[in-house]
Amino acid sequence: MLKTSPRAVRRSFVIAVLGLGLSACASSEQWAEWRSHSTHFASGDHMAFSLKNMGDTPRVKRQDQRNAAAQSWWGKPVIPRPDQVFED
Amino acid sequence: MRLARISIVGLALGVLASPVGAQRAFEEVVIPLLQYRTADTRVLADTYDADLRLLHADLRRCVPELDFNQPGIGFRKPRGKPQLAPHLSIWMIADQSVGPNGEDLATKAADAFQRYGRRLFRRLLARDSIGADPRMGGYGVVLTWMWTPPGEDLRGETLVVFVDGASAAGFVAGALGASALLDHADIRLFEGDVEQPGVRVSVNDAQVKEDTAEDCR
Repeated sequence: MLKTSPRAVRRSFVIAVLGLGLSACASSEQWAEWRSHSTHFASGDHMAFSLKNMGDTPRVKRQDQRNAAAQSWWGKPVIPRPDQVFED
Repeated sequence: MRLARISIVGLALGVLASPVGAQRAFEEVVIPLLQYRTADTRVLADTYDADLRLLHADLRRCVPELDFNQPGIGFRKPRGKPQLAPHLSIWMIADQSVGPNGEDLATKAADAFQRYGRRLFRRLLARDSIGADPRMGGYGVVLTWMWTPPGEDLRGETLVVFVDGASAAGFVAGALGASALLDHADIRLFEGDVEQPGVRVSVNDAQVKEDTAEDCR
């Protein structure tokens, strides 16, 4: 008989909530792009960059650009945020 | 010089830069009323919702090679100038197949404005009722183009032009050249999300493109 620890239950709950959150936020276009790749990230560099830039202001270094080209990262090019262009 | 690709996780969590694709529907690109933070911009958006729909349709028909950013249509004020009245503004995106040519950011920005400047301002000024509203402060065109430098990744570059109504009207009517318009305008340039200050955009008035479709002139 299998026993489920409280820790495992908590972990499952967190994963479920995260999954629900992601499904609520991502558009059909984003899901289509996600499905078009066999892995979640193109490389460790890609994952590190993504996790580092989960805020509102992506920080992009020259090396990130080179890595993106060399490792075929997917995603969208960064352009200015509206608050960099508009006052309100 | 900066450029990035953000993973789908980042995108799903809301860091996604504005996507490029087929021309987007009005509801996808118009700024929702609830997102306006100032009363003067919100009241114009509420008053002219029908005109914004017509502007969207005009852009889809007359400049089909460009897509809309999200948000792409609304009443905005130039960054750093909250004292100005609202500007009717659009933010369009050119993919690599229809983007500008040039060796550097300044020449690409000039080519972009020559290709699209008059055509986009013409669409903005076609909305006579908005232009006649004394609460309006002018017009704004934001144009982003994508390109891939040799050995690097896809990059977004952006030209921002805000100008008063009289200058925009003169430009559309042909009384004011593109170079004169830019002399009157508030211009900014970005590589990725990094502003490049002090870059002068010099356009050739003879190279300014016009609409070819009869009903877009």
